[in-house]
Amino acid sequence: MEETTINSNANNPETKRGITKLLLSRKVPEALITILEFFAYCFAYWMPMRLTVASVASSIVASESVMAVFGNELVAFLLAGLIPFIVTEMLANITLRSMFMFKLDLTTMRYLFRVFYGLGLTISGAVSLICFWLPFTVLLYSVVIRFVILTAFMVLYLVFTLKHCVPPHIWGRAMFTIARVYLLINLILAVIEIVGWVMQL
Amino acid sequence: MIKKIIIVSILILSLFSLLLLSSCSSQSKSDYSSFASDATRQELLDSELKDFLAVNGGNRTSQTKLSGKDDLDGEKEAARYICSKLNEYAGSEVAVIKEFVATTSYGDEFTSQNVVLSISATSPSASNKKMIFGAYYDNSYETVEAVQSNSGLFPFYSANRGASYYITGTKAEGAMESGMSVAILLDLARRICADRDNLKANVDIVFYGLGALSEYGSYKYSQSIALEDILIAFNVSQLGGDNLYYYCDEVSTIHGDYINKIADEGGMGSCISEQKAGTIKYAQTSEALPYLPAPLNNDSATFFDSCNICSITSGAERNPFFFSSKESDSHENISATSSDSYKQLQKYNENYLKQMDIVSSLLTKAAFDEEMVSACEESFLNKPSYVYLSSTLWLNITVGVLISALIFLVAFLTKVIEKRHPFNPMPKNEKREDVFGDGFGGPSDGGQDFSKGDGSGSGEPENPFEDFFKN
Repeated sequence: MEETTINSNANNPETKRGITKLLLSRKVPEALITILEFFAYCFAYWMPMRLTVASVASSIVASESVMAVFGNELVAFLLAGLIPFIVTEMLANITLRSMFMFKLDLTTMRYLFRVFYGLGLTISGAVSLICFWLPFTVLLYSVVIRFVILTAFMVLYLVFTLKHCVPPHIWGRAMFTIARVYLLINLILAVIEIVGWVMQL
Repeated sequence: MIKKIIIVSILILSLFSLLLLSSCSSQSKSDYSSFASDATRQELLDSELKDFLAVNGGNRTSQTKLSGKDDLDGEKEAARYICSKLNEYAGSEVAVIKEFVATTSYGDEFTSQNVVLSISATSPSASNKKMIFGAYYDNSYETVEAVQSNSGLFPFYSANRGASYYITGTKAEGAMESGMSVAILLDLARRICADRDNLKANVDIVFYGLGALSEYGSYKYSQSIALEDILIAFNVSQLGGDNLYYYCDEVSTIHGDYINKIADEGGMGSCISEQKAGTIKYAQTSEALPYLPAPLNNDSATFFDSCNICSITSGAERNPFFFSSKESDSHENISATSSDSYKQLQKYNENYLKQMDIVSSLLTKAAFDEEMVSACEESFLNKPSYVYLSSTLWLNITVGVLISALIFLVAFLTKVIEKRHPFNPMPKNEKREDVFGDGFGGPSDGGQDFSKGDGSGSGEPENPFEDFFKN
């Protein structure tokens, strides 16, 4: 992504302290953040994927050895994060690029998105471990709880980004652009699920 | 760079270690040595099993004859055998064969039948409610072809693709699926009939048809009874595995705890254990729950939503979908194969007779225990509901409403923010940049003023079409 900067020192890391400075200066390499973000996706989407993999493994006619290779926890874990990671990365890039005319520090914004969203995914993944003890909460987790946690971290991301990377005269427009895409994508997914349920009747 | 690689490697390794540790939790292991076995009872159970497996040469396959035709299939032969045995134990013609018609997803219609022995409790203190003891009795001995799928709208397509099958025949008697369960229920019928005056509740012993592939038999039976009058529905299936389990619900239940107490008192505590939700590792989707736990992958699923259940089954230590650790480790294939025979059962599991004895004794104790009735009644009042947790529709509507509210909130906040900080992509205090070398700014910025042809930046703007209209 092409880096453009505004003529403001709002995101100047030299003027910040502690975690804010660490985040804005992007001290931790982006490649490492991306890898960790991918594992966070795997962690957050692992529990529902375990059921999908078990379902597929028990329904296909395959030898036990084939099932042992493909129907295990590791496959479920890695497979879980793959599609959400690719789709979210793509949408996040498109959304941030769509704000190029505001001349913001899009590279830092994308970096911050990875950090905040990754943290949200890690927290929701940790919450999902409750499904080991209460497995019947898996649907509640994958539809409601994960969304609520991720939305909370999106709010934190927006507040942090607006404060440090966006000048006040673009706050409204930047917040609306990012929040709108995030909420509409989730709304579309919910509507697809509802329509799918109705079609099954 | 090396430092970064080391950090990433450590992180990945610790994550995988966590995964491995979490997947290594194991189920309880049955210890049959502590059970004081009754040799005479085990002989009876063994002979019951052998006699049942010998019916029709081991062929108890359902769906081999379409509805309306001469339907003397193996399943019907087995139903007649079970019915005659039950009448023999009851001393009168009380067991009935209840026929039903099942329509498959391909549109084929088959007749099948449940065999039901209803025993009323005669004791004045007995409950007027009912305990159900069930097991399916058919097997997958013969191959059964889906007729409609091969003669429908696209016969050429079907012919090219090959035939579809409901059952791929194994030519095995089905000792584990589900001969042992039938032998146990026949033994239970004998024990209950011999002491029916001491029953604490009415009892239905049901042998479900069409059980090898679906739960159609138990579904038809559940439709024919008042489910609110059911104290508990026991189901026995897939015995012969390494360890004995029973499953009541996803959370601890009063009746589950009481069954555990009965098992302990009968010296069976170390042989059979309750399968708790947290130990269920492999599952698939179902309607009753967001997934299907292994011990619900049988006829007990039919009753799960409506009444107390207890599914008694067996399985490998690490994965209950397999009979034994040999099978889960891919050394042997037992389930739904030609290995599911009486001979192989003796080879695989030296404790199979003890297993049958334990299950039969546990069920008998439950049928004659007065406190079991009150435990079931209390448990039913506290039965958890999974309706909301399993409903994709309601959960998604909840999220949809939440998102809609958030969209309005975001729109409102945007208005508020823009009121305080009006939107302006090019604020005055910012330096404007040149586009293609021509400045946006006026002459004072060194740019060109396009409002006046002379570039002075004063006077009325020129009409660019002035010459055009003159001509």
